[in-house]
Amino acid sequence: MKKALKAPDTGALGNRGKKGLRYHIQKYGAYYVMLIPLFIFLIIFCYLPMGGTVMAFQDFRPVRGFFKSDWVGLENYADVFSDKMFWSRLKNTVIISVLKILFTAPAPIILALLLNEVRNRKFKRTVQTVVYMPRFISWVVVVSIIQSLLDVQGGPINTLLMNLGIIDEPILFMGSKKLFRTLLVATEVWKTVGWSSIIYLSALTNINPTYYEAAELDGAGRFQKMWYITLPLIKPTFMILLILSMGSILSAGFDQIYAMSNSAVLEVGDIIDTYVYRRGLAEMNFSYAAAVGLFKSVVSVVLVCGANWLARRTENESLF
Amino acid sequence: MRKLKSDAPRRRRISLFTVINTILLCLVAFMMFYPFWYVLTGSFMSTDESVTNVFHFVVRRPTLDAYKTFFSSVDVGRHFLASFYASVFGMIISLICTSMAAYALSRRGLPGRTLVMKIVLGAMLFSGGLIPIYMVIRNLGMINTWESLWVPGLINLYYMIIMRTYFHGIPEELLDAARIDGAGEWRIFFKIVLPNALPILATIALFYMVDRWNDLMSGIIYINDVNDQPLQAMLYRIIQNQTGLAGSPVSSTVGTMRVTSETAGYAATIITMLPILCVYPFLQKYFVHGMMVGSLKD
Repeated sequence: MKKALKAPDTGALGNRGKKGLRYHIQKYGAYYVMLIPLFIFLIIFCYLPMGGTVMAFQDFRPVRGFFKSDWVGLENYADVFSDKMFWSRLKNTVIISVLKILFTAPAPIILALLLNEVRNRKFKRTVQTVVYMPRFISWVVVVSIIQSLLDVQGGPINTLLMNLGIIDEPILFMGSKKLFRTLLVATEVWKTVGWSSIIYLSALTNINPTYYEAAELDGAGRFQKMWYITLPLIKPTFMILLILSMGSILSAGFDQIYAMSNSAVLEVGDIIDTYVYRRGLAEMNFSYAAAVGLFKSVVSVVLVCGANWLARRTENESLF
Repeated sequence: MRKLKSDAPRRRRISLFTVINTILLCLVAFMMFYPFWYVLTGSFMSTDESVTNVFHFVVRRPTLDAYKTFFSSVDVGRHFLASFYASVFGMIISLICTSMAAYALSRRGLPGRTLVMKIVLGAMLFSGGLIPIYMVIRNLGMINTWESLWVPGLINLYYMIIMRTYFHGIPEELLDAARIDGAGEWRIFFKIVLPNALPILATIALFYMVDRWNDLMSGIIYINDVNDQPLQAMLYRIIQNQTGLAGSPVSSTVGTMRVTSETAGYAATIITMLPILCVYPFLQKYFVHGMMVGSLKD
């Protein structure tokens, strides 16, 4: 109500507010109609599933639906928290996420710094076109390519490593428990580094050139300028991105891991998302899987809000 | 601007750095490009050549055998159609719905605007999770339909907010001028607002298209009949079969698909990314533009 009364003060309505109710309906009516698809979408695909999380507290049977399934209270959570599989999946998820953040956060900065020093425009643009490309390729395609490159029988990487004398026998990369997480992180860096560098490149071009000029007068070299001017000035961007990535620590990437994992590496590669999928949809343990899913959602909200709070505290920036 | 600073006396020191920098960047670019090249050349090789020619730098005797094998063993047309329907038709509907909502929410006088934004934010923060969403889609009778590939993601709320930020920039005076001329709100939206927002429309359209084209999860979760699944799911089954590690518990419900040769797998990979490889070089600037607009959001 308050908003409705305030409305005429703003924007175009300034001198038209007195035209009365009919004008308002005429003006705003169209806007509300434009919002109808959004409302339908939000209700059906966002808020209805949120209500559906009650199945985490039910012995859910699809034939009975949400309303007629038996309530079991926290029984599903007793199952979840006493399940060793759940804890190992939670551990996997956090380890994989943290490893990914550790490597994907600094890599784009290095790339942006290198790109920023390029004087030849054509060269710069060509490199940019090539390094952004992996962002647009699906994980399945990436995994398909990686599989061929890492093939045990005559794959180029195994051949190269053997020719260089680094290894004596070809490595079964895709089925190695030791190497699986390394592969996840390496492919993640490969896929995202170029695209993430865009944000740093724009931060770099926004740096006031007079800083550099002043530093040059004081006799600063290229690396001193980078260390004392460039890096401190892009630190806020880095911190924001780093803090915000904490919010998605429980999503280690369904498509990537689903496409890349196999029975040999399941123990180290299975994450909450793939676990929920397998227990829920493949094994039809709906309530158990929904309970795990709800746990993930709740923890994620806490993490996102916490990260946002931290970002506002430390860097005076926030998402919402 | 800093470019102007690299004046003559310093040139010699810069050039040593430039050499190292150029080499490093060439190395990075090679690492990004080589995997694509390996598969592309491999798809034009005979099975024998792809084994003997380890690094695939050049194709000695190009052949279309791989593509012939692939097209004869898989009903590619149907998978392609599923992906195309979700990413092109679905994108058009999504774009219309997203831009309408974004425009309405960008008008500062709209009563209840902050409340709607809070509802949107709530939906962005908290997800019901995979299983409840699956149940909703099942109850809607959408399982095993191609609609399940795009309707559940009809509006990407993050994209909507990016668009809304852009619409904020359209001056109210421009719209007022049209109102004085007697244009209705719908007419203004379609004739003035949208034509003035072409860069952002193109960007968001492309994001929708790429997201849907590359989506693996929906096809596998919502569509049980493997012949009806989109291209990504098809490629997934092919690569699962090729690892020799197939029968993974993760993929137990999906099953695998036999493609007779490794080169046919290369052909399948190329076909799956072909549309994106084709449009990407031309539309790169729109993608980058979108990334910039997104990062200016705060």
